[in-house]
Amino acid sequence: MSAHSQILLTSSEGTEFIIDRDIADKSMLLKCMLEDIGEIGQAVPLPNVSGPILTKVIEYCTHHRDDPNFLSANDDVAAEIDEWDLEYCKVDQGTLYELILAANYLDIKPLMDLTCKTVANMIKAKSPEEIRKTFNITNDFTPEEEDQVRRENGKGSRRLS
Amino acid sequence: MLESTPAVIKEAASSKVIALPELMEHIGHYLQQSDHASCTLVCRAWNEIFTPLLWAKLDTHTKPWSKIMYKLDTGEIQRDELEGWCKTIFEKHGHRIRHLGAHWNTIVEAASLETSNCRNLVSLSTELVKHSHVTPTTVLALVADFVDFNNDDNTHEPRQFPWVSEEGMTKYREDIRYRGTVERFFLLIRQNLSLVRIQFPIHGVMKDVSQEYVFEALSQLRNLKELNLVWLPLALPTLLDTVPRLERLQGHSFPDLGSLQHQYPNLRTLSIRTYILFTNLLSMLNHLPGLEELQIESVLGEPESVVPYKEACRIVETSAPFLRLRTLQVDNQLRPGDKYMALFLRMIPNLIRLVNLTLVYAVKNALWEYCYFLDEIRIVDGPNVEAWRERRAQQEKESQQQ
Repeated sequence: MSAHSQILLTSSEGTEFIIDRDIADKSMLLKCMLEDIGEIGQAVPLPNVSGPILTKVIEYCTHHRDDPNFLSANDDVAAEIDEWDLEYCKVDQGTLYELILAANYLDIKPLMDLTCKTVANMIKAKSPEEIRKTFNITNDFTPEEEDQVRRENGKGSRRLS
Repeated sequence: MLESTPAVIKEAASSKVIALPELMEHIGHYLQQSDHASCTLVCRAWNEIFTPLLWAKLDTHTKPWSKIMYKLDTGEIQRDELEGWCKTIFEKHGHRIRHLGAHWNTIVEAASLETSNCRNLVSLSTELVKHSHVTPTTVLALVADFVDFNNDDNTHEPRQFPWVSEEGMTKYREDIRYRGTVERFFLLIRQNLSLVRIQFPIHGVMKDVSQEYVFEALSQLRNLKELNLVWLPLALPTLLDTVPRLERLQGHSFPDLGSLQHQYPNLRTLSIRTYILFTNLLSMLNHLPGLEELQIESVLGEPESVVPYKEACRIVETSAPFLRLRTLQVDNQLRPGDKYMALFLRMIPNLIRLVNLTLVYAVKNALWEYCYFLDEIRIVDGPNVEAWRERRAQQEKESQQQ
């Protein structure tokens, strides 16, 4: 198999994308698939990924194309996100979630780590009410339930605030 | 994963992420426990996802526990209030806790109560167990239990604690509080048979623990891989026979370490914080064929009248080297043992990492002569490892030219 070979992908809407093999290999799903069945010259359908999201994913994989530490890139829980990645994640929340789902589906661990870390940063050090506002979540606890949870779990956070 | 589902529409993406617990867990992995606590209060769905994450780990060294414990110490929180709360916590969430760092007696005691569901621990660390100034009611009840129990048996002096050796009983008779915590610690071990890692408490009273009692408790832990005994000295042969699957072992001293009888191939890391006699060291390593990392305080030779240095040299020349040993840490090598350290280096030709050894001329020479693969030296003002690397590069070049 040549390093310069190209792969054809189709997004959920049927849009076709041509990418280099080494870019496709960043996705463990595609890598295993291509290793198993070989390059059959037909398009690989990705019914779970829309065109705009696939474009974003390819952008990420292309930027990190020659990154030798690609697979261990975001392993460190406490590490800062690098500048390009930070800029890359400045998208609306819907897109961010779709990127998580796509990274999960295509099995691209560093992208999964990056996007999850970004969501985690939106939660960090916020009160429950602030989290609800950020993610547009309705509080569906009854007052009694909420009080019960607060008494058990909230002890630490309440006492600290 | 490959099943064909319709394209995700943006509005639904958020609920889809929440609906996949493994994704939320992944996100939760980047959050601290105080954040997990806030997340459980957001809504019902988040509560279900984050409650297990919140309780998977309880460590009184980290926030919010460290702060709560500090407030207990300063009197901002009443001890009764905290005890009651801890009891409820271990009743309700004990089964979720996998890693318990219980560095306060209150936690050790609450976790081991009969009502506690703390029975799925993977790791337990007690280390330095701090005590608040009041003897908790639970311990008094415990002592009363044992007194009752022992009254049935009038032939011996009442033994309140089955794990305390005879000498210990007379020495620490009055110190119920500490004994109570150690007792609770062993109860906790006995109700968590899936434990993989244990760090023992640091306590004066630990020295009075009866070895038989500890071995009996350890013998039931089928998954135990890592053990840090801190100050408790346990006979190495019995210990390894009791837990032969042990992979990492740490402790201050191990009696009888030179009289191992069997092979223990599972042990990979051994840390002994005391001095070892040269022949004991070799004898021990002959029974630990899988050992990769060794930490000791110092090597010492036997007195000339017992094992002459010449005899030690002869042993080294006729013994098989320890090929798996890659990392050596020697924290306080004593001068009289230097020549034995130099001898020992001949036995570990595959050494890669060296930490903290005092390098006198003979030792440095032996390192250069016998430890060809040395690639990392972590010694303040120690020699540069470049010399070893250059030598290897040079020899590789020469062998290519031939």
